[in-house]
Amino acid sequence: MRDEALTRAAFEALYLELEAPVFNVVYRWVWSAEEARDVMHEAFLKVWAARSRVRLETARPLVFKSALNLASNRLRVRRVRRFFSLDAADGERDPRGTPEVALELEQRRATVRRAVEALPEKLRSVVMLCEFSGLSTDEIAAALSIPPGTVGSRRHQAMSHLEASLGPLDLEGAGP
Amino acid sequence: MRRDEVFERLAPPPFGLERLRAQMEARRSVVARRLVLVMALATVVVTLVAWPKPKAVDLVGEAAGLLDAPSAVSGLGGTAVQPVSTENPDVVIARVASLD
Repeated sequence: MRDEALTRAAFEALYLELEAPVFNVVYRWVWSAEEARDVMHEAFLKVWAARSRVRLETARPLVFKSALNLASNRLRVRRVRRFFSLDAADGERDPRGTPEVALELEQRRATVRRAVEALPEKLRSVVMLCEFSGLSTDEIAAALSIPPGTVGSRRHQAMSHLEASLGPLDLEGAGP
Repeated sequence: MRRDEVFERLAPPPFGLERLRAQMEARRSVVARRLVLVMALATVVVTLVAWPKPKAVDLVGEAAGLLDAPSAVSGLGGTAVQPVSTENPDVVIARVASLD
């Protein structure tokens, strides 16, 4: 699969592989499922438009890089709009479960969101890519245009920030 | 707090690939339409540039053609008169030059 051109079939397979990871990363910028999907699709379309210059082995970091840039731009525009009161405060309610469960879930998510939003973007991008993308450290470094060593130090910094806001993170519930 | 609560894995909205395919098709038709428009504009420009222009009328050359024959010049004092041939016999034209 290495060193291949980005064909339509390979592109669609890449989408299916990265859909959930990219969505989860972008969601931590825009905090809206619909908007996260739009940003994610925009990123994939950009990569598809540049397919003549994209090799399959570099496409994965490129999708994340493009998605992060678009999400960051979207956030900047939203801040400006909010400053001029063009947008109401956003947020999504989870319709699952009883009102008590939903309320608890909503409160927990709001707490997490505040902690994640408080992270500087350069730390947030590293920790979210480390948690969700499935990329190697070298690929994350390539996606963010930083040295691989910086990925580790920023991740450590980000986790310290999150623990300062949320308390110690229980590793029992660690992801893959 | 549990780590998987902080990094909760959310499912993306359904039918993502179908939606992406539709967007790709829409974008392709936009590109095709733009290409047609650009080609049409290029054709118009090339046609306008390459269109044969009418030749400028050479009035001096035509007039010189009428003065073909060095016909007799009659002079009187400092004045010279040279008859110029015309196509109409009822019309007489002469060039007159004077030194005064």
